[in-house]
Amino acid sequence: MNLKKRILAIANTIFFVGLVGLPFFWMVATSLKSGLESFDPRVIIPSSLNWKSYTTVLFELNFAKYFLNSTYVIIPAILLTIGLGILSGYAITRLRFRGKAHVSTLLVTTYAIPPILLVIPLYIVASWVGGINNLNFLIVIYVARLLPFAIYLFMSYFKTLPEEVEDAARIDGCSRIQTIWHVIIPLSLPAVISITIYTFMIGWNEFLFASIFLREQNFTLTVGLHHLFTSIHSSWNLAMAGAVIVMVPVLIVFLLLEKYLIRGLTAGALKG
Amino acid sequence: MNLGKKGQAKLAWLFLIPTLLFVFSVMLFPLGYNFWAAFHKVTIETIGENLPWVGSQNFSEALKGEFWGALFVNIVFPLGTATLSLILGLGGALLVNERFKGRGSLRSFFLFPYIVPVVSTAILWGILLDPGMGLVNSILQKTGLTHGTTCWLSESPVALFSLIFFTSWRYFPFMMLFILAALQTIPESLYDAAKIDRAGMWNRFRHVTLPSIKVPLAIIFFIRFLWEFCKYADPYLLTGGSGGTMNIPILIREQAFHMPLRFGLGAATAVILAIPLIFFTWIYLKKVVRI
Repeated sequence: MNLKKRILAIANTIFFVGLVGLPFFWMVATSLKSGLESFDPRVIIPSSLNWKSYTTVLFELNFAKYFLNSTYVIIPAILLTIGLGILSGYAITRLRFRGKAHVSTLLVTTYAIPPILLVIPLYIVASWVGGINNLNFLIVIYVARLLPFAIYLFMSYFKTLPEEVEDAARIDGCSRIQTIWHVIIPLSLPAVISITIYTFMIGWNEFLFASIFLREQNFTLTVGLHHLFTSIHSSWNLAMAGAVIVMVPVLIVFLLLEKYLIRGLTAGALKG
Repeated sequence: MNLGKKGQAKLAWLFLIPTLLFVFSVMLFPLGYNFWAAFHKVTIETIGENLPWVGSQNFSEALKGEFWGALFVNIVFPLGTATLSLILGLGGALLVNERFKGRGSLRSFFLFPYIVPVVSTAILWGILLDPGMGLVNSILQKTGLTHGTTCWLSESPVALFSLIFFTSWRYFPFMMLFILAALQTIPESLYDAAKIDRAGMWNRFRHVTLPSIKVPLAIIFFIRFLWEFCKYADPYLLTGGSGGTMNIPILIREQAFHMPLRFGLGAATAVILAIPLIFFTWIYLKKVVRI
C-alpha cells in the first residue's frame, strides 16, 4: 500500500468512527451526568457516574411499565408472524393451487403500503371495535405489517430447500403438517432466527401507530421516550438514559445474532 | 401420503386464510375506507353516523396553502437523503471492503445508526443540535467557526439540511451493506488489469469500481428515495415538522389528529400522496423486485 492510499484510508476510518461513535458516546455519557451537568456541553465526561438517572427513568417515569407493554406487544406479534409466515410461505412455494401468482403478488404489494396511508382508517376502525388505547389491537396491526415481509423472506428461503427431503419424509408417512414441523422448520432455522430478529427490530422501533393509538398508561417504550423528551420537566440525563434503555435490547440481540441478521438485511431490500 | 390436486389446493388455502384475513382487515379494507372517507365529511363528531358526502371539498381544501410547502419538502428530503446516504454508504463500504484486522467489528459498529430505534437517535441528535446547550453549537463557537447560535432544528432552511443529515446518518449503513455486497462481486482480475495499466487510485475507482456497481447504486438510490417519500417517524421525531421540514405524512397527521380532528381532510391528502407513490411502487415492483 502506498503512502497516499494509507493516509486516505486512515482519514476515512477516523471520519466514520467519529461519525458513528461520537453521538453514541455522547448519549451514554450524558445519561450518566447529573441533571445540571447534562445541560452543559463543556462537560464531556461526567464528574461522577450518576446511575440514578436510570432508576428514575425506570421506576418514577414509568419506563418499567412501558418496557412490559412493548414486550407484551412484541412477543405475540413475532410468534404469529413467524407461524403464519411459515404456513403461507410454504403454501406459496410448495403447494399447487389456482390463483397462486395473484396471492404472492398481493402479498409483496401490500408490504409496499406505507403506514401513513393506513393510520386514519385504522383509527376509525379502532374506534368501532374498541381498539383505541388497546395493546391487543396494536398486536394485530404489527402482525399484518410484518407478515408480508416475513412471507417474502420465507418464500425465498424455502425455494433453496430441495424438494427431495420432503418427499422422503412423506414416504415415511408424515402428513404435510408433520413434514413442516419435523423437516422444513429445522432446516430453515437460520431463516426463522433472522426473521425473528428482524420482526423484533421493526416492531420494537415502531412509533407511528403506537403514538396515535395509545394513551399514557399503555405507552410502549418508543412513545414513552418521546413523551419523556418532550415534557418540560425532563433533563437530558433522563432523556438519554431513556434512549439507552430503548436501545439496549436491540443492541444485545444484534450483537449476539448478527450473523443471522446481515443475511436478512441484504435480502430485505424491502425494509424502510 | 401424497395429496391430490384438490387436497393440495385445500391445504394451501387453509394455510393462507389467516394471513389473508390479517392483510385484508388491516391493509386492504382500511385502504379502501381511506379512499371512501376522502369524499365524506369525517370528523370526531360524525364518526359512527351516516357520513355526509362532500364530493371533492376535502381535496380542494387539501390542495391549499400548506400542501405545496409539504410537497416541496417531500421531494427535497427524499432526494437529499438518498444522495447523501449513498455517498456516505459508498465511503463506508470502500473502507470496510479493504482487508485489515477488525474490519468485521468495524462493519458491525457502523450498522449502529441503522439498528438503534429511531426514537433514541432522534432525541440524541435533538440534544446535540440544541441551539443553546447542544454540543455542535458549542464546538462551532469554541473553534470560532460561528459566533451566533444556529437553530439547527427550527430555522428554515437549516432545519431541512439537518433533517437530511440525520436521516443520511441513520441510513448510510443500509446503503453500505448493499454497496459492500456489490463491491464483492467485482472480479479481482479487473483491478489487476488496471494496475498493469498503471491506473492510479482515483482512476481505478472511476473506471473499474464505479461502472461495475452502477446498477446496484441506482437501485438502492431509488429504494431509499421511495422509503423516504412516505417517512413519518424520522422527521417528526427530529423536528416535529418545524423550520420548514413538514412533509406530507406529518401534514396528514396534523390534519387528522390535531384539533379539530378532520379525518376526511387527512384522508384526502393521503389519497393525493398515494398517486405518485403508486407510480413509484409500480416501477419498483416491475424493475427491482420483478414480480
